[in-house]
Amino acid sequence: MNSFMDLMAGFGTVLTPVNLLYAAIGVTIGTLVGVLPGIGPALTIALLLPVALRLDDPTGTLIMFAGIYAGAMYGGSTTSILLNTPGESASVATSIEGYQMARRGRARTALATAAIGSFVAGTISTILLAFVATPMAKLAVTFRASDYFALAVLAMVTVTAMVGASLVRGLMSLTFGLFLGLIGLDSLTGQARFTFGVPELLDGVDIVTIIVGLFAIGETLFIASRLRDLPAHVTPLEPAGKGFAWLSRADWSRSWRPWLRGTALGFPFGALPSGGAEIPTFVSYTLEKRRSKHPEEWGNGAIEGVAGPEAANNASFSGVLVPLLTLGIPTSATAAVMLAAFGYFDLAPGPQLFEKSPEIVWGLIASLFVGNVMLLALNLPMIRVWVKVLQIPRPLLYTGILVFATLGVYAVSGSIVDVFIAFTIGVIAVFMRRYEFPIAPVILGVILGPMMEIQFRRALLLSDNDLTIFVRRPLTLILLLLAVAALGLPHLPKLIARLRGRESAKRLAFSDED
Amino acid sequence: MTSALPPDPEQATPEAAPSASGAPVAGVVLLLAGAALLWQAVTTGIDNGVTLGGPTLAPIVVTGLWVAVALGYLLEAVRKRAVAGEAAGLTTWRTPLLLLVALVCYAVVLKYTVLGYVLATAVFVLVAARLLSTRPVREVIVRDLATAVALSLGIYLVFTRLLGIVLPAGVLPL
Amino acid sequence: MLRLRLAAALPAAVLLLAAGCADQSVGESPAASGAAPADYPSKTLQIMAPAGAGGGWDTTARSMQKSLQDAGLLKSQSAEVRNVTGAAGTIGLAELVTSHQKDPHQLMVTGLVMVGGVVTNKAPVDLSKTTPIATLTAESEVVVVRNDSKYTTLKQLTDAVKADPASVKWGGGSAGGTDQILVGLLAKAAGADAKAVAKQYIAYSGGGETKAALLSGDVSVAVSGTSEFADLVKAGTVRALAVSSATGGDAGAGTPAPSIKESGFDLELMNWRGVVAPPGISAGERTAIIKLVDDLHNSAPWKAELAAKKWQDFYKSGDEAVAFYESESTRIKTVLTEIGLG
Repeated sequence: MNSFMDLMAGFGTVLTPVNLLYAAIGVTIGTLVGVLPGIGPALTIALLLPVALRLDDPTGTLIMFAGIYAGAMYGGSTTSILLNTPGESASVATSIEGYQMARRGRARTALATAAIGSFVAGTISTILLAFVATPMAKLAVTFRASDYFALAVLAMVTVTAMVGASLVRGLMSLTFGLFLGLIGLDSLTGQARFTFGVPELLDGVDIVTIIVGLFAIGETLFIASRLRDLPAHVTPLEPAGKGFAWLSRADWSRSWRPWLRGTALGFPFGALPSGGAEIPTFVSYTLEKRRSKHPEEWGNGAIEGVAGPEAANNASFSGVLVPLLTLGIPTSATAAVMLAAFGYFDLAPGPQLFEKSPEIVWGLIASLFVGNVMLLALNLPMIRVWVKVLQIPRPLLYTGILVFATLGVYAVSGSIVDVFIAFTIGVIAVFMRRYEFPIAPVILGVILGPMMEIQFRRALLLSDNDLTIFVRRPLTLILLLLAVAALGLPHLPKLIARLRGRESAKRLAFSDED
Repeated sequence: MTSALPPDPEQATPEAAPSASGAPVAGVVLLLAGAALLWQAVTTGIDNGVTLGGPTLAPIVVTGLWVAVALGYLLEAVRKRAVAGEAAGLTTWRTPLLLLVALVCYAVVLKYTVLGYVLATAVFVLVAARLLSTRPVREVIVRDLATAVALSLGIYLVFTRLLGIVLPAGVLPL
Repeated sequence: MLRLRLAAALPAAVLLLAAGCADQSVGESPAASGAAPADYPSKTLQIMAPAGAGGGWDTTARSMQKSLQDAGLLKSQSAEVRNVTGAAGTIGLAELVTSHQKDPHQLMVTGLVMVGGVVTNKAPVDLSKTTPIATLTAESEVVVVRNDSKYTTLKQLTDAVKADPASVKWGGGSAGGTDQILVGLLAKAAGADAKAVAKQYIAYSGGGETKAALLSGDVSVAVSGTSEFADLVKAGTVRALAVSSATGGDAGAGTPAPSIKESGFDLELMNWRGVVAPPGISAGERTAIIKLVDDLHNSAPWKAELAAKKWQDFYKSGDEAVAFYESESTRIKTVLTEIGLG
């Protein structure tokens, strides 16, 4: 167990007061920026990079950056749960059930299962990172364009449960998302699509702008329309439960399996060069909903719907480090910035990093364990503070959301047009809420649509327009067959029944779902 | 998740049926928007040619799907109109509209005037908090003022001093 | 709608390209006195990075800001970095040209990517409308194949491409970016059908995806910035066939890879970055800015930044920079138009 000895040495590196301080600073900053919409870990690390360079302490800096990333992944869940305003796409799935839990006074439980789930997922996935990074990376880079296409198709059919109770309204939301994903220059040919002569649309609509518009701004405007119908306080909070760490025995027993399943989904997706953190959260949500023994709770705050996606989104971070450390391939914006940081310290991530700078690699991995413990230690007590957010008088709370939403879009892009795009999407979101179109499928469309299209076209270009590419590669074929199975078997009877009009009967049980 | 907050969660009633009045209008708007976008996708396709690997196919597929789904929605909305109760929908258009105007003004002031981030944000906070409030001004003015100053100054200092993100300083000597 | 606007804007842009540079280098502005204002900068210097935080332009802008301050070149003033993102920097370019005319305290970082972006995005404003000040840094491009590839020299690769363009799949950054420009120029230099070759170019979002595509075998050749592939070259996973600088250089292997020129093709392409000022500033103001950037270039803090960021010094200023901006614009526009992206 050579890796094990290396890891122990890594702990030796990290468990110095200075490095622990870096880790603590990292997770604190990360949690804060994760809470703010628009200000993600990539931006924060990019901005802190010059400061960090002056410190001239590669190990400490990288430990801090890892802490920021992990903290941001966790922090993102807080606003999703409490206010239904996720700050980035990986928290959207969490917000669905998480916000319903908060609405029913179970905010503490939701935050606790998110925090502990993040810890469990972070720890397990870091163990995986430590011991299977190299074979995992080798496997990940065998994925070709046609495989990615098939994977996107599989993800798309798997997550149909996100569409909600009404097929037609869910599909409409999904289509809107697909359309948003088309806006901008086509990445393969540079041809402008649906840009309407607005140069700011050439790069497409940024996912942060979409999320801020759909959630923060849409939610606030919708609340504004219904002020008179609302109780004086945002949420009556249930008295703190007696269970350990705010989770009752029942909550624990309903959470641990989703945590593990979420981890199993998040880690490999993160390791794929074109995987990402969003898809596993959506798949996890769907999976938990399908398996649930309490179908009546879905849409009304099912704890599994928070535990699974939160674990998935945190596990994907260790996954992202797999190709980054072993091959120097960044698979997310944050990873790309971290790669730049490696470069400044004369560290070339890649096959030799493990041999040439073991103390840094294993220090980084060990710091992930430490960071996870710190996150838990920071966030469980912080739940007490976070839920106070709900006691802020509503006018000030929602005004604050608007200020941060505007800031998030404006400060990042420097463009007022982007701010107006977010406002426009916010207005559309009000109508979506008014006519009860589900919001989450929009994000699905924005993320999966471009992936499906671009990988499909890449595969065709690479095979000189030979469609058989999608059946010739065994991996592609298997994934596509799985997709067909996932689409066909469980759904066919239900779909038919729904189309025949059993929908209204179903809606009784799912009245709040979409 | 998008459904309205019921006054009391326990009273979430099944009658809050989705197909609220006005849904047919929404369906028509969706259909028209979809048709316009489909038209644009198709004409671009005709101009540049449509190939399986090219950039013009996906827009046609997506907008085509849009039109089809919008049609389905419209039919459903019209069919169920009679049985649909009024959903817990908007009770007033006035507040969100005014709030939106305030937001747009805020963004324009930030970008095009010399007022600066702190003053613009403070004013916006006061206006927005007033719009969202149901209590008389004199009860909450101190609280609102304090929030406005703390929020705007706090954000400005954290962003410009700690993160190095430039926000317009404006007329205040910061 | 878009088309109409572009049709109107393009001839105008071409005219300006022809007239613009001469105009500014001579400095016909009424305020032209020729003498540099001694008190420049007389207020906060605004350096615009026309892209998001963390990218190459942003890092350049922040390095400039830091070095200007550390070297004490700003008198009692300070410098700020602003990010205006979007469309290969052409959004920032449009803002500089329209909102900051005649303001010598507004500078913008630019580079080869923007020259290409103006063409591929059919932007109404191009760099000829600005006042070029200098080029600062540059990075060479590298052409790499997997270590099990049958190509060991650039010549073998281009011969295969000439014989059958479809036999080689190229991978690189976004459509119309530096990587695709190099592929187009290389095809031209080798006498291959540039348009047919460009059709075999697969765009990826960023170096990470390109690396993965080369390793998975999706593409047979990858083109990227030299630093991007240095670690894989070093590890022996991939082989550098050529670098795009004038002379060969180390692409990571420890031994220098030949340049494209040394491989027998008359081609050199550097991914350069530079700085421009808004249009309409006086000749004196232009002289003052050039002097400031000259001083920056000679300062110790800037040299330290170059070393820390591993940037290659690529300094041209004043009229030399104006001529360089113009020749690059012409060359890039020609090749992009030829491969069907213009």
